[in-house]
Amino acid sequence: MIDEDKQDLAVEYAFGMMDHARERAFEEELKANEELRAFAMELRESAAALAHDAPALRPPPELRERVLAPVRGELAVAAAVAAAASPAKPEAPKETSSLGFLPWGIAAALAITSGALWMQLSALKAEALFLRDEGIRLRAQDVLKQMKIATLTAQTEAFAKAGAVVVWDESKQRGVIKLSNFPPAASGKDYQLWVIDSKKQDGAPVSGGVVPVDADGVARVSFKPDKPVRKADKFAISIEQEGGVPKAAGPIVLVGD
Amino acid sequence: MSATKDADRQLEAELLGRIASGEEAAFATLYDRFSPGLFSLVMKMVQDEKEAQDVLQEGFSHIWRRASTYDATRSSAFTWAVMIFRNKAIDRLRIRQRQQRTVDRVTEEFAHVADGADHTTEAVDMREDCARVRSALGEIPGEQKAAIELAFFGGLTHEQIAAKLDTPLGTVKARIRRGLLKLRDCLKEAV
Repeated sequence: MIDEDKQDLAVEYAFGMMDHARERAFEEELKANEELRAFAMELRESAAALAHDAPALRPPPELRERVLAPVRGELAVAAAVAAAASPAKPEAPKETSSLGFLPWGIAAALAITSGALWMQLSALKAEALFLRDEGIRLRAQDVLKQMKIATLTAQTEAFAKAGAVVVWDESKQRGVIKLSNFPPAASGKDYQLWVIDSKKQDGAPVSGGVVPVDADGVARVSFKPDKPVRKADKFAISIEQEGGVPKAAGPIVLVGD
Repeated sequence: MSATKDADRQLEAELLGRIASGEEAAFATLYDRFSPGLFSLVMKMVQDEKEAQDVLQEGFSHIWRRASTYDATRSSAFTWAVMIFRNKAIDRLRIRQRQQRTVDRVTEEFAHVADGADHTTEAVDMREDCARVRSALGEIPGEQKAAIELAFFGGLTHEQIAAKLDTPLGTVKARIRRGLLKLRDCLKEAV
């Protein structure tokens, strides 16, 4: 027999009302109490069934592609990385600088599947939408039309919660980057912004400078690339030596267009 | 549980296993099976089509990346997915501080109700599920149903619901508990 207090806890669990610590504690209790576990699982299934009470709608057909394209892109990148890293590849360059190839190989593969980079909205994009909805951006509407706004997405699990938005004004050759939920840079390392210019002949990324992140994992920095940018196709953030480097060499952690 | 439901649950759990292995086709199949129901849920919660699309995209991206964390002994695949999308929708609601407005709106306002007959198996199954749940909800007293809907679609806690309904906390807890137990029993009978 499950008393009412326990039943109420099971209800809270079913509806996801508990904070993380209470949920963990309750799940520990469930492991030791099979009757309560079965009860809680039944309630969870019943609660989830409420989803069927929503008026029947179908998502727009184009959304399917928006959902599937990033997955295809990710798989293409994985395949490209695997191919690039394959030891069977003949005459692979041995010099140290080739270590920097891999992340930019990822960026190149992503460029091919540019549509794929419209991945899930990050928290920052949601924040940007919120700000827009609040009307904060309305004053600058005309100016914004001439600007490129890029949402960067994580390339590694360690940065899954990190977000970055770049606002780029090509006519003025300057921009602003905002980061959130970034882990602190390791000792002797810095985050560095790169602009990928599709019209640049050598294809090398242009440095946007170091982006210092505060103790809360947040940064807001105005930047001006160290070389002229004709067409900013993508932006990327990599981990580089402290103070930044003239030529990208470290691993890319976020990229987007 | 019926044999068909069992088979569906097993198939969906298998799909998640294949997604965890990086199989795109399984992901597409799961999208086709789940997206109408999940989109409907998210629309009811956020009441904004563009935002609902964004949540759907985020939620499926989460499924793609976290399919390996699904545990079939803890819930069905659909329940697991519902909780993911519901949490993402609640995050949106909290970000935008629109809970009050959202939970007060009636669902019939939506202009994009699916039209036309859709005879795919999934659509038929979904309609049966909807009918089952609505029938079960019809068995629940109005005040219990209202409290349950605030908890599920509004993402409110017991305390928030008590404040919103200006009702003692103990009464709210009892309404939700009894309502959910009744819903569980009705759903069992309907299978």
